[in-house]
Amino acid sequence: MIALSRIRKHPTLLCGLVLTVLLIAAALVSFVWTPGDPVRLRIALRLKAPLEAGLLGADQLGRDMASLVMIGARNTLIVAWPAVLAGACVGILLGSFAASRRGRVDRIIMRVCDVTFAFPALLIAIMIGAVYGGGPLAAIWAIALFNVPVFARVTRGAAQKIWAMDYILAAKALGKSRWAIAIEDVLPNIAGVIIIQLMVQLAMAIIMEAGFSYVGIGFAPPDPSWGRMLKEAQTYIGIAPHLILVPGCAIAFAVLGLNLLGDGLRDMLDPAMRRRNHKS
Amino acid sequence: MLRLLAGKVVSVTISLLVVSVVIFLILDLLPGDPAAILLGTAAQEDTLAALRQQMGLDLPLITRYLNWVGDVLRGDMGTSLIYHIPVSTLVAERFGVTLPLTFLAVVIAGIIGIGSGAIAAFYRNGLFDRLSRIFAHAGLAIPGFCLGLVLILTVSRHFSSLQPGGFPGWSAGFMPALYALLLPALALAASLASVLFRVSRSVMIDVIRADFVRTAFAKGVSRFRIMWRHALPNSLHPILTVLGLQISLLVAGTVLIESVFDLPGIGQLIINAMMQRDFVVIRALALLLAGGVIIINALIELVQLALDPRLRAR
Repeated sequence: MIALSRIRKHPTLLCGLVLTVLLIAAALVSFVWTPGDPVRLRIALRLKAPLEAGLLGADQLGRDMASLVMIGARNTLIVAWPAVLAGACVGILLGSFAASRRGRVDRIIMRVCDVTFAFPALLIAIMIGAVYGGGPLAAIWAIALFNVPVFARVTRGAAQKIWAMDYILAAKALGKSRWAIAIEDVLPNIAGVIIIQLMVQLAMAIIMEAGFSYVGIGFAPPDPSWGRMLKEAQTYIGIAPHLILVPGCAIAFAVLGLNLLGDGLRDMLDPAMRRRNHKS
Repeated sequence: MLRLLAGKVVSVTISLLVVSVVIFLILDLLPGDPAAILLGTAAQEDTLAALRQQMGLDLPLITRYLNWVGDVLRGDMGTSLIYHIPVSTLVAERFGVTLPLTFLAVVIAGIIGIGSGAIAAFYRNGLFDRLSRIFAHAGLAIPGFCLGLVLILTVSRHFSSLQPGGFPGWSAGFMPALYALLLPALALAASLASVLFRVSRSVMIDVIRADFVRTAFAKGVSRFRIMWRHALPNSLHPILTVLGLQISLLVAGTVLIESVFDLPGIGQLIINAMMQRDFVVIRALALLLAGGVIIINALIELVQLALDPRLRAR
């Protein structure tokens, strides 16, 4: 209840929460129910505008757009979630390790991260796609790799501040091992920062997944994905704009929701940022 | 300064070497025989062997890597397996599209993002500030290629000179070529402009509160002059840092935008190369793009050093 009343004080957080819950709900519900049959081709209804055929209209093959968008949400999350989580786990480990060691180990880890960061995720996806074929796994690998240096940097930056605190010195004096300190004392104190970054990266992963599937890396037809819906819609851009606007809005709202959620959590969790935000 | 420069050159060289090793390993060490992939399953064993020899695949790994790096250093990036044209020729043609497009996008994003960030900071919580914050949220939420499609849908219907699709080439005259790049550059610039807006706004808010700006206000210096002469130079460092972090996203965005607007640039080349499994082209382009990100980031750091004497003194 306390949490609820706190959330109500942050309209950004509330908007983000609503949009994100909608996204996840659409993805989950699509497992058991969709408004129409997403694979049934109804040629008579092809390119019909929203409300003329189903809630969001029909695509170039007469499939129900609302159902395709729902399954697209599911497929986006199937790629984005595991990719960001995997990247985050490795990145947090590397960042914690670097912060606890300092010196040469720290420098080497960060150097490797810098180099990894030089690879645009799309480039990694293209390289993996060329060798393995561009399935969803190529997309997951690429997004995961992209996220490793991001989380390593964020974790290291936040953890270094904690490592300089007196209570860490006390823990060291008590003979606690580095790893015990890193896990028991440092990680819980930087969890907020990491969770916020998780939301931001998840939003970015959704943009990336859409981009990948636009160029043909990701779920293969007939499995719908937002990016490929946009690609296929381009041919009909003059006659059926809803084919672009529906998946386009789906992507934009999904990303907006996660971004707002990240911003709102930052306001709520981070007192230093709250003070900054008073200025804004 | 000279020592800093030398140190930078060394660290960039090391990074480039690491990048080349990673690219080589991803494309060469992963399972799958490029010769077999190119010729298909029905290929005869002796044809396969001949192709492998032609591609140098029968040599040991280290030799292959050294051969590749040696060739690249001499300016030879190999010959495309599909087009049978030297990669450097293919790339040179396409950079004439990709580089101006990216440059245009950065300029647009810089002017809009930093400019509106500065204005929003000076008139905080005013109408302009509120509106541009909403725009920034939208700019971050809509992927560039998606925005490109929307622009085709809306703008180019009404302006015949901004017809999307294709590129007339610089030989067709400067203006037609620029027009062809304008919409894609706008689509590409949107998210970068939003990021730059957020950073420059928050940095400038801090700078405006600094004592030297208050002194300037007290002396009766005009707002514009304070913004231009005091706030902007002092905000440039973090803005450039963020710009550096955005470069790799910008590269990915360019690849997608070229695909949306059917521009014959690097992006189209690399996507076609992926479809056709043209490993030589992918390897060369991956090195160029990832290397480009590293070099641009190093240049940005140098610019920061040049701008701020305090950093040089350290």
